[in-house]
Order: sequence, then structure tokens, then C-alpha cells
Amino acid sequence: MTGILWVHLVKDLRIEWRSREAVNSMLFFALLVVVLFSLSFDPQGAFSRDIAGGVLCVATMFASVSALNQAWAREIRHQVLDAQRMAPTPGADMFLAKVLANFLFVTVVQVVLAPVFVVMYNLRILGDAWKLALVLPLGTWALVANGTFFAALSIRSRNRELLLPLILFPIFMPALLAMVLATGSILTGDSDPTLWIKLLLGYDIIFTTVSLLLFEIVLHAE
Amino acid sequence: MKKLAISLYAAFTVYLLIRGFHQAIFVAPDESTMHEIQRIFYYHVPSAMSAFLFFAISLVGSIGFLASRRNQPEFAQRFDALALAGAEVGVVFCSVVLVTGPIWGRRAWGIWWTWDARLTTTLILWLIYVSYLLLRRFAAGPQVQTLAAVLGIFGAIDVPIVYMANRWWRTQHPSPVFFGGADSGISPKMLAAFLWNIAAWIAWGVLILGFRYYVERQSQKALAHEAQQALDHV
Amino acid sequence: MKSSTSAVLIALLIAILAAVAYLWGSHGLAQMDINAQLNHKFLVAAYVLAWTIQSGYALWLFLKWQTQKRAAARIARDRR
Repeated sequence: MTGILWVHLVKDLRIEWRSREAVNSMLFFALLVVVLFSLSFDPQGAFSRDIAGGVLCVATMFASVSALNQAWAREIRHQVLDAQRMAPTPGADMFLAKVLANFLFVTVVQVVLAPVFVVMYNLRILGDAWKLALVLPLGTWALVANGTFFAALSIRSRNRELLLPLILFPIFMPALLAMVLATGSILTGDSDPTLWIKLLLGYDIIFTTVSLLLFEIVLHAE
Repeated sequence: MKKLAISLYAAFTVYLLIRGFHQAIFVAPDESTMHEIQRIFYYHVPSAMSAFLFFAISLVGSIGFLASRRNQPEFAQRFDALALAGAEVGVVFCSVVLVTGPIWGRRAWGIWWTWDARLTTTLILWLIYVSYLLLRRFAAGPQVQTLAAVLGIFGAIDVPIVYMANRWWRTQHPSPVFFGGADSGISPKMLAAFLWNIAAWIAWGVLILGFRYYVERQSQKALAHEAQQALDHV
Repeated sequence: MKSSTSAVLIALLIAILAAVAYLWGSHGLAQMDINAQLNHKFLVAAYVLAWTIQSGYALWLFLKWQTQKRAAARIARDRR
């Protein structure tokens, strides 16, 4: 079980390492969103703390959609996906490996983006900064797990690039809300983000489980 | 015989709708603080209840489809038609809720919209099922039924999470506006108008659901027939 | 059903809803104060919009059904 997962993960990472398409495009896209928002709102002081959480989350969300669309499109070329479907291995492994790989990519983007973000928004964190290390991975996991699942779901439709955000964003909304509010309360330091971290954790557990259970059906949908 | 039964049911639905309208506008007493604007409730709340009912029917259809698609393809097709019909009729009722709500809110609260738990949940519910219908339109081929069923289940799981998230959010920041529940000290005449409208809208919804189900079944059969003919030619 | 018939049906529905909105919306406004007038107009707007959505969907469904029946009849004719 874990062996197959590892093989898939190493393959995905190697492909990304050779091209660096996903990380580069996400990074530049997220940077553009951050700059655009900074330009249009000119954030300073307390106001910048209020909106920064939302901007960071929405920037990550938009950026990762562009990468998630590519995640399965790679497998479509040369009928790789059909070969995968015929392989006698559980589809859940392939799914989990893809989620882990994309989770890594998005995390890299966030780590690189964070200093830029602090500079552009003149941020000084008033709450417990270490809690961000809990909120951001949990939120990213929610985004990537659902995103990978829905990318696989929309892969065989016409205009799939358009369809993914349309079906992902409504489902992702509660996690986005929790992520934005948790980040916001850490940045401003005037309320406790614990409840939102719990909600994110619950969302992650529920949707990761459901995705793992239903992925086989989506993979073999005829 | 079947035609007669359907006509009788349709006539009964029309009677209920007229009766409900009459009760809501002419019979129910004027509410003491909100006056006439309160009568929007007689359409708003029954529509909300119907929307939830039809989304639940859609969920049943989705689960039924996934459960029976391998063993009983014929049943699976029926379930799929039910899932689609439930989602579409649910979206129609949900749209009514989302349109009548702000009209009432503007007069009663002074604002069109607020991110209150129920409002947000209803809006996200609407968005989820619209995306479900979009998927059914965009994705082509036979796998669309499976994919739509999976999305339908995801959407249904999301709804309670959305509701909890918004309730916590608003408990932390109490909002100045409240939802005056229909059952808080309601007079018997108001209750009667309310119940007539619930009956009327659910009857109407079931009628439309049946019609949508029938149309979808017909198009499924036409598709199956086409596929069969293509096979016969080969 | 021809597309001209569909257009007539749609126009008829819009005309009925607009007429109801106008007649009911302006009914008895003279005896009301400004607040009650606004309440009345908002109430009429809500009811008419609810009916627009419901009957609009029903009409769409009816037209879809008619198109489907016509297509089925054409296929049956071609086979003969």
C-alpha cells in the first residue's frame, strides 16, 4: 500500500522537478494577486491586518486552481490515465500521492510568498504567529484534497479548465471562511482562532475520507 | 386513468395555490410591527422548506444511483432522473427564497443582505446545486451521471458544515438582526395561512418534480434508443 | 410546437405577470401613508417575483417537453 503511494509520489515530484511548471506559474500568479490587491486597496496599519488573511487565502486559492488543472492533464497525454485505471492498484494511493505532491507545491509557494506579503502589506502580527503554521497547512490541505478530487472529476468534460473552479469553490467555502477568519484573528490578535482550527481539522478529516472512498468511483466512471 | 389522476392532482394543486394565496393576503391578520410586509413569509418559509425537501430527494437519487448502477442499471437510470429533477426543482425553490428574503429584509431590517447563518447557508446551498447542474451540462458522455452523483453527495455533506461554521461565526459577533421565526407566538389564523401555503408549494413542487422526472426519463430512453440503433447498424 | 408559438407563450407569461404587478401594486395606494405604500410595493414585488421564477421554470419545462415530443415524432416518421 505505502509502496505504491511512494512510487506515485516520487513520480509526481520528479516530473515537477524537471519542469517546475506548476510551482513557477502558481508563484507568479499568487504574486500578481497580492500585488493587485495591494495596489487597489493601499493597505496600511490595522486595515491591512483586517484584509491580509483574506487576500492571502484567496490568492492561494486562485493560484492553486491553475496548478490543479494541470495535475491530471499530465496523465491524460499518451493515455497514461487509462493505463493507471487498468493497473491492479488501489486508486486511493494515486489520489493521495497527487494530493501530497500538490500540497507540497502550494506550501512552497506560500513559504516564498510570505515575506513578500509581509512587506507589501506592512504587517506586524499581533497574535500567536506560530498558529499560522497550523492554520495555513490545514487550509491548504482542504483546498488541495478537494481540488485534486474535483480536478479528476472534471477531467473528462468539455472545457474542464472552466469547470474546476465552478464546482470547487462552492464546496470549499466553509473551509475558506474558517481559514480567513483564523488567519485574521491571528494577525489582529483580538480573538481566539482555536474554534476555526478545529473546524478546519474537521473539514479536512471529513472530506479527505469521503474523497478516498469515492475516488475509485470517479476514476472508473464510465 | 393515469392521465385523469394527473389532471385531478394538478387541479388540486391549483386549488391549493389559490387558497394559499387568498389566506396569505386576505385572511391572515395584519402583523402588529411589520404590517403588510410580513405576508412575504407565507411564500418565503414554505419555499425554503420545499427547497430543503427537494435537495434531500436529490441526495437520495444520487446515493441510489451509485448503489444500483452496477447491479440494476434500469433502477440506476430512474435514480439519476430523480437526482436531477430534485436538484433542479430545489434550485428553483431556493431562488425564490433568495429573492423574497432580501425584499423582506430591506423593509424589516433596513438592509438587503447580511452574512447571517441561515442566509449564508442558503446562498451556498444554491451555489452548490447550481454547480451540480453546470456539471451535468458541461460533462458529456455516459460518465456524467456517476460524476454528478458524486458531486451531489459532496454538496450534501458540505451543507451542515457551512451551517455550523456560520453559526459559530455569528455567535462570536452577535448581529443586531434576528430571524423572527414563524412559530414564535403566531396567531391561529396566521398559522392556518402558513400551513395552506406549505401544502400548496409542496404539492406544486411534487407536480413539477414529477414532470421533470418524466421529461428526463424520456430523454434517457431516446438516448438509449439511439445507441441501440447505432449498434444495430454495425 | 413552432418557435413562434413558444415566443407567444413567453410573451403572454411576461404580460400577465407585468399586468398583475402593475394592477395589484398600484391598488389602494391612495389610502396609505408612505410607509404602508412602500410595504405594499415590496410585498407585490416579492409575490410577483416568486411567481415569475416558478412559472418561468414550468414554462421552460413545458417547452422542453414539446421539443422532445417533436423530435420523437420525427424519428418515428423517419423509421417508417
